[in-house]
Parts: sequence; C-alpha cells; structure tokens
Amino acid sequence: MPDAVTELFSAPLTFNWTLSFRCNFSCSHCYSRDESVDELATADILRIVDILVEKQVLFINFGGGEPLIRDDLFEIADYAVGKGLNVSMNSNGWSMLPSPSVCGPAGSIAWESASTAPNRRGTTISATGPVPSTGPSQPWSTCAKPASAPP
Amino acid sequence: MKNLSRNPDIVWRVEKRREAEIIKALDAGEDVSDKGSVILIVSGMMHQLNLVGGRIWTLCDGQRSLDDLVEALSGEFEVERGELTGDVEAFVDDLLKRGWLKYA
Repeated sequence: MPDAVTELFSAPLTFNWTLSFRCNFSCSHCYSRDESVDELATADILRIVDILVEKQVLFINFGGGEPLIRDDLFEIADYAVGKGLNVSMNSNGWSMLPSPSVCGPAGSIAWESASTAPNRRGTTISATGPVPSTGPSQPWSTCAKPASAPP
Repeated sequence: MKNLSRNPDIVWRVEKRREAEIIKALDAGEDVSDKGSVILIVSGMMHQLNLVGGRIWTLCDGQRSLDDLVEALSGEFEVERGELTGDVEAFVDDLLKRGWLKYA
C-alpha cells in the first residue's frame, strides 16, 4: 500500500542486485547456497544499468551469492559509476584478502581502494552467520568451502 | 559574485512525476509549498525540497551566482523581485549552514 513517502518516488532508490547465486562459501544460514540459475551476460547487465540510469535509480548494491565471483564485476561497477550511479556490494570478503594467489579475481582489492570515489560507496563484509543469544552461530572462517581454504 | 555548488556527497534526484503533479496543482491555484519534488539523501537520511527549493538546488551547479539564481527563477515564478531575492537568500543561507551548498 502506498504511503506518503513511497508515493513520492517515481523509481526505487536502491536496486539490490543478485548478479550470481554462485559463492566460494557454503554458509548454512544463507538462502542462496542451493540456488542455481542462468546468469546474464555482461552486455545484458550493462543494458540494465542503462535502464536504471534512465529511471533515475540512485544506488546499486551488488549481492549474491558472492558478487566478486563474477570476473566482470569491476567492469559492471565501473560502468555504473561512470553513469553516475552509487555502487556498493555485500561480500564475504574472502576475495579481498591480501594474498593475490588465493584471493580470487585479480583486482579485488581495487574495489576497496576505489571506494572513496565520490559515487562509489563501499563494501559491507558479512563476517558471521546469524547471531543467537549465545553468540555467532557460524563464524566466517567455517563458511569457506574446502577448495577455497586459506593458505 | 561567487558561484554556488552542491555538496557532492549528497545523492539527489528530481522526482519528475511528482514535479509535474505539483506544477499542475500550482497552476490550479493550490498551495504546494509543503509538497516535495526533489529528494536528497544526506548521511543516509532523506530530505525533500519543495518546488522552488528544488529549482534552486538544481540550479546550484557551480556555474551560477545567487544573482543568477534569482534571475533564472524570476522568469519561472510570478513573484515580486525583492521578495524573491529575500526568499532565495534565506534558503541558500540555510543550505550553506547545513553544508549542503558551498561557494565554488
């Protein structure tokens, strides 16, 4: 039901975008770990970015799955930033560890270093699972799949 | 005179559909002073500017002085020049104090 605030909007403020359900983690609490769907090609994604710009959406937040698992994430983010959108992502942070040999896509750290740009707003790192009264139920380190084990 | 520019950390947009509705209401003689047509996201909080405030905000692109704003608005709104100047000065002064605008 529309209210006085949302009625004002001609478009959403934020587009939360699951680019991929794939992930290098397998967290028990995550809804996406068992999902498997076809993914859009880069060109299709860039066309969607154009539509978001046309509709005056202000923010894109990349999620997943793990957004950094897509090799074209930086291309997509750069394109969106170049169009004036404000970009952020929710990542498990694994690909941003300071060791290129185990860090996944080259340039992962560049996201952080670029996050101070005026319209690139940064990253949220998901470090634990749900937190019951006794404390974190699944620490970040136990979510990693064997193939992605730390050095 | 110095030009006015928006704080680049503020994310904003003109709500075009809403703006069209407000202009229509204004033409019909309604009071639209409390109806927002521009939204600003400032430190995670959303603010609205009414039609005149939104026009002032939009015009503060770093290329215009306060006198330029008054000149531009005088062609858009039927209001006595002195009153318009006073209103624009007061509004700009408020936004300068908030840090939403600055002199380029």
